[in-house]
Amino acid sequence: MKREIVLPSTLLETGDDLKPGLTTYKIGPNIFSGILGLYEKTNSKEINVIPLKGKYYPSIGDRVVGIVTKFQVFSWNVDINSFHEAILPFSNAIKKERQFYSDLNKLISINDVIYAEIISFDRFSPPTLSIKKKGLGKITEGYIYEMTPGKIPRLIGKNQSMINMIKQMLGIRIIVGKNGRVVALTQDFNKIEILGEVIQKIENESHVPGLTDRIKNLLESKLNKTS
Amino acid sequence: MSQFKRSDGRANDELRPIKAEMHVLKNADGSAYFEMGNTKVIAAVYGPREYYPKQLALPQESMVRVRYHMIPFSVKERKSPALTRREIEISKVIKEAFGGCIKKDLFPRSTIDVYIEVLNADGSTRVASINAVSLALVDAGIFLYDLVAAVSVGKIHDQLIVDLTGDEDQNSEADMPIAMMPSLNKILLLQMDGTLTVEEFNNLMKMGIQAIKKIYEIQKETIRSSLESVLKMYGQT
Amino acid sequence: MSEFKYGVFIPKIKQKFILNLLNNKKRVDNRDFIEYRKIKIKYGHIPNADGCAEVQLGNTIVIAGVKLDLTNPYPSEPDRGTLIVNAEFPPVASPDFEPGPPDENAIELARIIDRGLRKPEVVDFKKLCIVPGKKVYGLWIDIYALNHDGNLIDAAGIATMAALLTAKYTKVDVSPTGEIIRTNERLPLEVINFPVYITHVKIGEHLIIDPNLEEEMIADCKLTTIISNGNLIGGIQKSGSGALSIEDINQALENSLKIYPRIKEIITSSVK
Repeated sequence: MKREIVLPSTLLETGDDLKPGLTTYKIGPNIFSGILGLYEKTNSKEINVIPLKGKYYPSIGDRVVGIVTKFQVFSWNVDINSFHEAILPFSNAIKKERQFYSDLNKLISINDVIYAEIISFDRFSPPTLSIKKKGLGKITEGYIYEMTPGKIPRLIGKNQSMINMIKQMLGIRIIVGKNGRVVALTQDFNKIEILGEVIQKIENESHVPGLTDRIKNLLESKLNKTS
Repeated sequence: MSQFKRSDGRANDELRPIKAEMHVLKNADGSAYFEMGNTKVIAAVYGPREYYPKQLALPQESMVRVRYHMIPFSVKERKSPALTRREIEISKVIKEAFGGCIKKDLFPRSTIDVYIEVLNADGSTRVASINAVSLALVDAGIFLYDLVAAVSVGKIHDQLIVDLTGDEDQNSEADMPIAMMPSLNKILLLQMDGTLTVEEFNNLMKMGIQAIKKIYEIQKETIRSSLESVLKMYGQT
Repeated sequence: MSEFKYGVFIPKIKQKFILNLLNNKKRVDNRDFIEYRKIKIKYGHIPNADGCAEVQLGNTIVIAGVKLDLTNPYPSEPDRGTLIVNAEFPPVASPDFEPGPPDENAIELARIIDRGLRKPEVVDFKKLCIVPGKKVYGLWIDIYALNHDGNLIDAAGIATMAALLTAKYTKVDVSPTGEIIRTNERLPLEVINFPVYITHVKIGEHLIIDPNLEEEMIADCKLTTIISNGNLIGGIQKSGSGALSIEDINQALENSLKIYPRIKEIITSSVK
């Protein structure tokens, strides 16, 4: 498995049966990169690059951490670090039918942080959120971090291995939004600082192999120092 | 041939020293600094982001907006901070240059906002701006068909030169900024002020493209080195 | 109007967190309540300015440029050079800033900086007079925010003083017939008073110095004190809609007087 750094216009593959994805384009049989990212050969016919920069591209089923920016007539507007604000319709947030509008602002208001699922998105309408499922909803306490959305899979790791290791070693609960926002559910300043360093390291070194070991070492040395 | 010598001793086809850096401003989604001799510019990119007012957004693609601005002390005689007609025109041609290089249909109804501040002007500010914006767009993770590299060429005392300084621009018989996507061989910006014969024009174009390819390599190197410094730290290059 | 504005949002959980920390006598970046972020000053990279400095205060970046050129004196002060301070918050610095003429915040900043330079005078404006009532030097100071991570005022103050300390201007001669001739000689601008701008914010019950953007945004109000030459109050500006107690103000003044020599030393020692 070789990962290669590619730039806009880097030739990735050649083949008439290959298709460009969201991050690539095709001229004749040639597929080129459109972004700065990492390219890894796979068996897929659709050629894509893992982005190293940029905003979140919404996808149905993704769980995201959003910040409420507006209180509208039928919905809240929510910033999800994407190219459009998402919408959380009241009906996707409340269970009771007989709710008054004036109560809603107490439920969720501007600058609140929510953990939500994207339930619909296409090129003609903004992403729509829901917080009705278990585990979703308003986050009332914790510390919020930002990282490049394309690097979130590195924070999670294969089969959640990386994030589970971090949670276990720090002994805290962590919410990971696919849109690049991470929330540590703790008020322990020391652990918040350590997690901040971990996230910074993943941000800077996501393209360098052997990341899991380096994160483990970082956590060990930091935790030893404080205990 | 006349006895003309460039005041900084450069060969006619020689670029001034170039310095480039990515991600110099933390708040913008992407940013870059680009320096060609004493011409120094900084560019910031925001977006793609929501276009306001929403009813004026384009339903099929992102809007690209560009503001080129010179800070008052960037020129010899203090300039008023308000946008001049010159700055508005340059903003327009830069916007249109990038309109041809950004894949816009990925983000319908959004806007990509590009802000350029010229910190010190010594000729060729619009092409230095384009070189900076190109890196800032990459830093913002925006889909580009290719990097855009740009240079100015011109004619002074009957000689054809590359990368004009402010003084050379003042005294030139013609100056011509060019921007292109080098890998795709497409010209995105072309202006000419002055008079040239067709033969001179063709020669200048050739010199310009050659210089653009050098700048293109420097841009790619700048992007790679921003990532490779980390790779080197672990001895993996 | 707000529908059309991009902005910076500080989530409620972060507001709560910062306040919690302050209650435990801590700040997000582990600073002391009256400690500045790291200050870096860069000079000489803008050759077209007569004096210039770029200041980094943590992640806040401000550039100030000085220009001296011939102009007409004000009728009320025929024998003195003129001073114009202009500040802009261009959109490169923050999604909060919009293109266009300076807004009230940028104008306020320019006027605060201006206040510290006029009384006591930062340079001897009489020395900037060439022909009384006819020609004087105009001193233009332009301040540009390049990245806004809080406390633009103090950063602008440092940048302005650093730019003035390194400024040089073209000497002119007056011929017997009254003509003004530019020479090739460059004179240094002589700084005779040294203001330092020191900003506190009040968050809850806490008074802290040099707020970063998050602290500044959740603050109730802001107090900038200008200390001139170590022991004089050269100007004050309270901004933001919250209120301060007399004790807060006295505390802020005491802190400012204490910190003045340190900031001045950072600026003067950075000038080579």
